[in-house]
Amino acid sequence: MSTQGASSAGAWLRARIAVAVTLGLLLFAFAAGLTTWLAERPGLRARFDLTKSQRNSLDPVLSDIVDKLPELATIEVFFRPLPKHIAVPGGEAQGRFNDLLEVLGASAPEKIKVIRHGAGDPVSAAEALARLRIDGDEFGLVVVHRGKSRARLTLFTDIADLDVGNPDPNNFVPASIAAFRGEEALAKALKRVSAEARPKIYFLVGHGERNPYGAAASEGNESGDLGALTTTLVADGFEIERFDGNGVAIPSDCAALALVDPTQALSAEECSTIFDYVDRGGRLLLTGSHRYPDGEGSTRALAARYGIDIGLGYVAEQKPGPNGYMVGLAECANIFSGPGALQIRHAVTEPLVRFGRSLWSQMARPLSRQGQRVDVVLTELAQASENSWIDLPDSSGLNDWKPDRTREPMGRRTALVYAAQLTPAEGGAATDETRLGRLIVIGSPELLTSRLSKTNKDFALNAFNWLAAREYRLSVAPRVEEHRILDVRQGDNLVRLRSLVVFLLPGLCLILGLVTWYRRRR
Amino acid sequence: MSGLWTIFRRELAGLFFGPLAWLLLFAAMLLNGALLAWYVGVFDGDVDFSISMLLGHGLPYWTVMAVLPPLLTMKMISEESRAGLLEFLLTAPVTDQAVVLGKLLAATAFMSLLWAAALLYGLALGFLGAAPDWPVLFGAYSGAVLVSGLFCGIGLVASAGTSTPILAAFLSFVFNLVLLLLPFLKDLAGATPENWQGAVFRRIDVVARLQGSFANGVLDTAHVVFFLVWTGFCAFLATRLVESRRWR
Repeated sequence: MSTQGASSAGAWLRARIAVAVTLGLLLFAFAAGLTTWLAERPGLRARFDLTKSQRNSLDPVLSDIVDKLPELATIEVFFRPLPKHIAVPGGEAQGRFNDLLEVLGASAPEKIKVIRHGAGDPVSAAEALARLRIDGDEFGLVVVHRGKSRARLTLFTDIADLDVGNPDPNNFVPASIAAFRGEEALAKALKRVSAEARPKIYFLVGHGERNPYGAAASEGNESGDLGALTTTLVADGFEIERFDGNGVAIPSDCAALALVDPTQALSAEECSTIFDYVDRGGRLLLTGSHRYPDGEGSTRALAARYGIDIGLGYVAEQKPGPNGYMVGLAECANIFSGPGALQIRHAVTEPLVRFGRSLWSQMARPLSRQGQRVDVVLTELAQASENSWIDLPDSSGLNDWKPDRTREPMGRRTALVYAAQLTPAEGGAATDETRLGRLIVIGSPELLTSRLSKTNKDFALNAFNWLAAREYRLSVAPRVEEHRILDVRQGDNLVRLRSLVVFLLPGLCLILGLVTWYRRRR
Repeated sequence: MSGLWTIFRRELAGLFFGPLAWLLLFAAMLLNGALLAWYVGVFDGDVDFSISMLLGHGLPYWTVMAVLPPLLTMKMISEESRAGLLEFLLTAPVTDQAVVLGKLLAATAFMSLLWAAALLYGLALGFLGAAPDWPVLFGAYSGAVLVSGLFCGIGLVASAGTSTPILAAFLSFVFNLVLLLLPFLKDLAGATPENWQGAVFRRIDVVARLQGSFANGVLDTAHVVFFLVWTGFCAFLATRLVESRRWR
């Protein structure tokens, strides 16, 4: 073989080896990528929380809800910078919720997707809120959604309780987080969106009721219709339908039936259908009526069956003015029930009390107990103040908005909203509470209208969620944050720490090095 | 694997018999000690948070990670190749894999020793009455060792690819930097959580892998596998590069 031939054969051999080595490398890289990918598959991946406080693990309740999610749920976070006086507690609440989302996302990446809309891009955040048909919140909010179901969590209502402290410079107490309930709020929201079917709320129509599809107040029309309410309900995961009661049975998928301010009587057949529906575990929301307050087929007659009387006249209150309390004005029919006038032991009003919210009733019929049905548990949800009276129309049918001690009851807290829960008949079998009839009676139909929706939105949502058995009384224990703290403000702890870690340990290392170097030289 | 232990001991002894390793160890301990004292002061004495800053959440940690392994590994193969010692080693009764793995383990062991200072800091804090959450500290330490292994592997590949130690250190440093900074460029690449670019960036994000698990008190098998597998790939690549000297 010639030298040239041997050289050519050598080059060919080297090329073959190079190709084989390259292929081997590619194969290894592919195997490494595949192994990495496989290691991230849910069945093959294991996570161990090493912390003593188990801060990287989900609460069992939340974990169970996530496991049972039928498909991917998305959590969109709209946190924003907070005003200076609450920046510290707000930042802490946002941080802790973000940590919780990290744990949630890492624990179930196939079930949970987290999208954060940063404060740096308000345009895309506004677009996302518009897409979700959710109103923003000045302190930031979180939207949990799956398909068309949505749940809205606000930072200082649902996720954390804020203690505003005392801003008085002489007795200053900084704002702080009173309680962090991020896990519980998230569990409830996920539970809500994991429901397969969207509960349907039927609004009875055909008797001059308020229009459920009226313009929403948010669109600039402060309407007496129910547009804002239905928009809120849809955003919360409900479906809204009209129900024309005339001779038609109440649909089987009806989660709650609402009857808001009818101006005409319901027929006896319709009343019977409604009674039958509630007795079979149906849910009903009734309001007083301005134009047809009393008589056969009125909402008063419907409520009376459950031991609630929707009285005549309107609840009125003295209003503070520049020269003391004033009466004789239509404003007296505006009743604000603050936290002290709301029921703390009921799922509908408890959150409102907790967050210091008020309920605004306008032209409210007075409510009271009537008779005593043993199978109905009545709870007063909202009251007027002790300064209220029931303003009855005079002989010409007009209200003067002045208390008349001779004929108008006064000096007592008149009920404005009642909740009624039907119980199993005595001796009857124990029944699932979620299938028993429920009723909410509201004295003022105005309370649900678009005009008052900004104040009353949370109450309305809670009311319909309670009726539809979506209150989810989940109990997730708030996590105790464990911090191991070295007291650096008192004593010489920091100096001692610095002596140990800055001087002693590196010094020892240097001495060891010098000794080694010296011994090696010798 | 024939000769692995011998190579490991030889490399480790080589490191500690010279002044460079002690100097690096001294500098790193001084830096980490000063940082710990500073973190404890700044974060109102929060011990766990200060240690997590030291072992993965702080910028200095990643600076040490990007700089130290290239300096440690730069001479390991390239210097021996330049001095002609590698040929002796390759003709000795040790396999190429043992040569590379022994050097890789020695470099990683040195880095482990360096990060073990954090365990001493834990003892010091315990002595002062604020003992850290030990399982979390051990988890963070394990993470630091795994990341060090990967970066030492990258350094060995660079060292095996060139006969100039400084060039090897420079190449390795640049690659480390790219690996650490690449995830910050994901917006430029149009990566979103949904698309494939996002999936790629998420998988190569070494910082997020460490910070989302080890440094946070979580032992996640997916991340353990990631670091082990890609360190193994670096060792395989370095072995092939060493081996290529026989047939190039």
